Amino acid sequence: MQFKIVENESLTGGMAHIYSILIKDEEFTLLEQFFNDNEQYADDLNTILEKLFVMGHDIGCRRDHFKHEEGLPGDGVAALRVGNLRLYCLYFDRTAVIFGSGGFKPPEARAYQDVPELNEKAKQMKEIASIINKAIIEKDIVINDDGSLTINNWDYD
Amino acid sequence: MGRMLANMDSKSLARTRNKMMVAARIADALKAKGISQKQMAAQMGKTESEISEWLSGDRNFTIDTLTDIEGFLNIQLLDTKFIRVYRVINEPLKKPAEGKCVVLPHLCKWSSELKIAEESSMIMYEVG
Repeated sequence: MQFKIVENESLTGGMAHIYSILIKDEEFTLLEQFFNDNEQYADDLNTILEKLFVMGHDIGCRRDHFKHEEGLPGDGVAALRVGNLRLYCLYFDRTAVIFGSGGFKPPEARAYQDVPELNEKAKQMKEIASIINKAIIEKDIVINDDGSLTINNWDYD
Repeated sequence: MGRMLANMDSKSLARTRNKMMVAARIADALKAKGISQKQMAAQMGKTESEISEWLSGDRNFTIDTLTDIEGFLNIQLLDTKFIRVYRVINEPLKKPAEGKCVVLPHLCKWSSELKIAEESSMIMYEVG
């Protein structure tokens, strides 16, 4: 999978940097695709957008806002839950989160693994997390104290 | 998504912000006092998942719940300490010094013949 990390300038603010992923040859970031794909849940999407805006500008991305341990142990994959929508992300700390995509989790589903479309999005986020975490370990990506990223000689950018 | 950002409703955004801010204050107080979510749940008679929901920033708290949390954590979430009171009285009052709270020496009774005092009729009381 080839992709780049793209900052969302509208959502990023003085308290946190909000990023998403742009897969090679695709037009929209995964976060934008999430909004496009789930238009029928307008109220919940509006709430998600407001939460991201408040995180970026007012309060930071606090751990309590997310459901953690959604990926492999320790990989940082988490989910933002609003209503029945799940938005997967790679959570670093209060100053930086990379958002992927997600979808609708029916109330009767016990776990995202029971919903094929959602499972696919979670799996995608886990794969992205694995690549990014490896790049961080190898110092190809550095997360600065303020949440900005320094991307060095990284193959996937 | 760009269209949604441009059309964000300011009232709705303010509500979301306030919910998240209140949740953050509760979370910060828990951390400062070294109380876990599990302990808070046990001592307040709630489930852990309810406490987790309180801290998520999604909860639209009632005043009763905020009052209970204030009492448990000994923090202020509701700003009700001072209530500005206006009185119409039938005798002039000495204007209190800036920032001081005063208690009237006797109760003022309402009457249709009352005149507005020449001095300031605004007294701030400390409640409780």
